[in-house]
Amino acid sequence: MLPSVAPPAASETPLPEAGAVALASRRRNSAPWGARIAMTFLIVIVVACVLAPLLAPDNPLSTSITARLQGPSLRHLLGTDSDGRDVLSRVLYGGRSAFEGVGIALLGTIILGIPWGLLAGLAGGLVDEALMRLADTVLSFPALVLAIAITGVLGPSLVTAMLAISVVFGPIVARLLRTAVLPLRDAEFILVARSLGVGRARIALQHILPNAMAPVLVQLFSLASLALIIEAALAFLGLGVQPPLPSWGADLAQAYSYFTVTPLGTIVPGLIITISALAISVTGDYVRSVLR
Amino acid sequence: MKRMLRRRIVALVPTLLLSSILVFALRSLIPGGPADALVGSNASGQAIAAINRRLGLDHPIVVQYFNWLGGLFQGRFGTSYVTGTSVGSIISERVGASLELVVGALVIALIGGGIVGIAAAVNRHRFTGRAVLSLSALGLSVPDFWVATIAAGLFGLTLGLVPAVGFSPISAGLGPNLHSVILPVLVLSIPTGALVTRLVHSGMVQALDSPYIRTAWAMGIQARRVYLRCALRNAVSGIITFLPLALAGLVGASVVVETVFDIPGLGSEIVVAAQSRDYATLQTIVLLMALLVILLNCAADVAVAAMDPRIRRSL
Repeated sequence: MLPSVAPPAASETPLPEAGAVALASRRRNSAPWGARIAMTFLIVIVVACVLAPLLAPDNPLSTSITARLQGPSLRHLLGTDSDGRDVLSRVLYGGRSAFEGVGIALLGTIILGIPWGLLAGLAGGLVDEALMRLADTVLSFPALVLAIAITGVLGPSLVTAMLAISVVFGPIVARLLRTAVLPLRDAEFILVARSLGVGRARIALQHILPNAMAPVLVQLFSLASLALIIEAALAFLGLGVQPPLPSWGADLAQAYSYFTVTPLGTIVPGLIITISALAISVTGDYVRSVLR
Repeated sequence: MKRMLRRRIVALVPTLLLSSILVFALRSLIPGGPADALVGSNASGQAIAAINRRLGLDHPIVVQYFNWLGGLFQGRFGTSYVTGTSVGSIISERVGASLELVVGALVIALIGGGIVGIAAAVNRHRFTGRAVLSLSALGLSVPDFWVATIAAGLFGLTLGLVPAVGFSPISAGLGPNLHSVILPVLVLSIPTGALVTRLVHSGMVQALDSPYIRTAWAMGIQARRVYLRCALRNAVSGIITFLPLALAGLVGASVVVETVFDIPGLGSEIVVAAQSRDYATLQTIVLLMALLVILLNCAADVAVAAMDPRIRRSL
């Protein structure tokens, strides 16, 4: 992911290339405890959700009229929901779609934002102006509102919700990348590469892009934590994962109707969303401090 | 100053046009077109053609865009695809509740966040200052729909202190109105308040470590005056710059909060419109929200420039 080509003029461009060096030198000093807890939690929860078919005590879709809205018990560690389904199993399976969604959203953001920012930074002039004006315009829509509009038009599902988030996030990545590309465009090692006859596409993709990726990489963590929350919010509003499929946001919405009977169904998914989002951003902060 | 104002307003035109084009283009994403979404894909060709004629969808796309844009300028926002009522009347009915929520939350966030931020900056070397800062980070990342449901469930459903759902307009009396909005407004103000706290804190801390504050201390100026008159001022331009962003966040969060508390505002309407595929309503409200953010962004730039001569010259 990080530099494949070290710039010859490294002393003059103390840019991302320093990331790999810093990573090596920091390895001796251990990460702060906050970042350690966050990363451990993330690994545990992602693995648990991926292994949901093995770990889940019950089928997340199997309903039971006799076992509705039960409190925690040995059989149902987190109780059951209003359809008698095991909450723990639904939380595990719901996490699968949540992290799958974050993955799709980030992939879409990269596919959209990187060519956008790279082109704007390298082309300059009118193309740059037009692309950045477009980015500013997309960014002037409140993120959730634009995502709702797009899912409303395309029809609600996990994939459309995540594509909508990519459209909202793409310009953020584009702006960041453009800012990182601009000083590299005129750097000496690029001049050297060009004078050696390296092609334009190769300069852009192999020499400029890897050296401009560090701020984008850091930003992707914040975007991932935001994507997790927006995905849950869209599902909560009925515009994401559709019931009866398990999802943190939609399950929370369903459980809320029975808040007075058992508040656990409302508290647990929200708590997991909050801690996961927080863990992603704490990890991102740590990556930022390492790359500096 | 005048030149800068003129340039800023001229730059507004392409942004406004572009945002209207983006919102209009949403329509072309609809699988099968709006008519198809309205009557279902197994409707006869005749029925679809009739709907297209009624909605003006039989014209070329560019003509459609200018018809739509021209209509917006004349206050014709079209009619709802689902209920058939005019979108203009839907908006004017619902804008009041949304405005009350957003403005109320903004005021509470600015006052509350300001006070907490100042306290955190003054106590920046103590445990309390750091604890407040960590808490504000939590306030920024906690999902609003979760806070809203927990608050409504706890204070509304379980304790019964305030209504968990519903809204009584000001016309029905100020008391019941405040009673029905206090909880949603507080929930809405949490992320913005956390943001204001952080901005006030960072602006003030930056100032407190700078030479001019040291001079102020050395001159024997009272602590209260140093903090509030000298250091706080340094944080104000940061807050004004972030105000449009905060407002965009508030508008986005109002969608969720209005839905949870069942408040008849623009935010809850947008969700209903998206669920029922009511594109005319959806389009207009989305555009309205974007316009609000764009105009406020511009106003904030101008306000910061008016306050700070360095920025004025650089624009």
